[in-house]
Amino acid sequence: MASKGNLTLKSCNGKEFIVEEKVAVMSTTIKNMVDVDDSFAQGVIPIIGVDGKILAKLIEYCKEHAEADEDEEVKSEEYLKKFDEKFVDELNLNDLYDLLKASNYLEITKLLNLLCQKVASMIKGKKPEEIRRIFNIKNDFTPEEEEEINRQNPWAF
Amino acid sequence: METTNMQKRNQETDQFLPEEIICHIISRLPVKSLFRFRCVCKSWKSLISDPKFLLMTNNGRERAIFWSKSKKNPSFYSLDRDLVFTKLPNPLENIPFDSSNQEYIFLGSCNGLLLFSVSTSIFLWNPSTTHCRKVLKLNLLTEDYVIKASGLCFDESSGDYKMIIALRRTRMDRRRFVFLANLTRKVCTEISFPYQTYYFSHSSSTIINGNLHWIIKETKGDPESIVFFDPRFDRFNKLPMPEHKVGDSGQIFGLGGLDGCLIMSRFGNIWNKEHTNEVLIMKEYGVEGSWSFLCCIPLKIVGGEGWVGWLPPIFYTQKNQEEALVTNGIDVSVFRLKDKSLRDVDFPEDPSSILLRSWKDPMGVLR
Repeated sequence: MASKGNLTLKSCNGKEFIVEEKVAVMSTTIKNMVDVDDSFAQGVIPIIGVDGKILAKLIEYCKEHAEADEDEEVKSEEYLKKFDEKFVDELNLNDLYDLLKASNYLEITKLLNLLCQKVASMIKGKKPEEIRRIFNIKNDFTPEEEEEINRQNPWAF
Repeated sequence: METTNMQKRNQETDQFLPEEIICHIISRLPVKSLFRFRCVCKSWKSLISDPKFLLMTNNGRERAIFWSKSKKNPSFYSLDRDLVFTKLPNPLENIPFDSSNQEYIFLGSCNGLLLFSVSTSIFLWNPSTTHCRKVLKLNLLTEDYVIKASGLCFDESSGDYKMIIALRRTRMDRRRFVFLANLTRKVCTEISFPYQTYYFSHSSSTIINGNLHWIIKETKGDPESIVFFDPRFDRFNKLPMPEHKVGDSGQIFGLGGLDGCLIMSRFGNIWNKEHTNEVLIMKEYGVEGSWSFLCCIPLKIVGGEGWVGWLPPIFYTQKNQEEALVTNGIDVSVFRLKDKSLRDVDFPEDPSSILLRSWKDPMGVLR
């Protein structure tokens, strides 16, 4: 049972984390749950589809940013920028995808933007076939269609 | 509900990420990558080809474009929000077209495409991908006619690009003609323009809310007003002007767009020296009462001859709405809103040889 001002988050594989409310409500989804139903604030909030490892990462991120929002002097913009850089650089591709999905589901906009930007800069110079491999996308064009697209001018008509 | 469908589709296709997140990622890619990624799969292609998607996600892609006045060897530069100049290849470089000693006349820009004419030919250019194509021939574009106003817009309801061009015969009856060209269907017809035009602003039109805007003056004594073209109904109309106060001069220097709102710069109130070159913003489109004061840009003496009014800011630079890029048609400067200071932008070429006009647009819509 979390003390006042704290919330308990439970991952899909049963790991429980006690976090300050200001950290947890960085997630709009959690904020809405707590706002609508008081019982969530007292009990345990199940985080569906997010395992303990990913949830710990999410909490690590939210903690830094919630503290920075509260007191700019302790954690400067520059500090946060460095933290963000390190945070995304240390992720492997699987964790990156899991975090993306989790931050999308939990609506942690800042983190979602950070991760999307990371993936965008990772893929911007790649070839289409590499893109398919990175995202496991099936090429549903025939070779003729693909050639036709490559021939087309980028016109709106 | 939408998310559930996406997740379902995601499971069916074994993609590592749901479409929703892919959308977020794609929206952050530079135009060149987008162009290459059209052939990843059908859903990427349709997303990248959708002008609405790209318009939604063009944050930070705004650029201004300048070109030199030289007829023989015009050069083209884009300037981004980091104030970095990039030289662009001449759009007619790879087109079999004799443009020697002909002036490139800017006609409009929309969705990252630029419209310009050389002699009687009209070209559409996508500077992000460097593609250029002749879209229309207008035989009236000779020295017997002068272009009074023009603009390019996109009709979302039909997916058509449309051009408005107003010409006036230079001799004889000095009659005015306004043409509407549907560039998708390649038809050009005369369209009725319901206002007198003692003066029709030369400066390029501004697109806000999908409409094209110009400044007109109906008769000599009238204050200037803003007329717009609505491409959905192919109709012209007037926008409400700010409430007139005693001493307001009513002289508008130019129109622009900032964060999706229409802005205008004008000669302010003659009783208030502080407000000689004021910029107003229409916070809620079409609502008279929403015209608000944005800033005042100090006038600058140009070439010892007097002053020229600053056009409205082109865009905010990267520094979070503290600084904006401005031009008076001669100088290009960075204006700091806080202390009203102006700082020159370093041009890669002699700025006096650069075209008087600049415009901005989210870069690059592809289909």
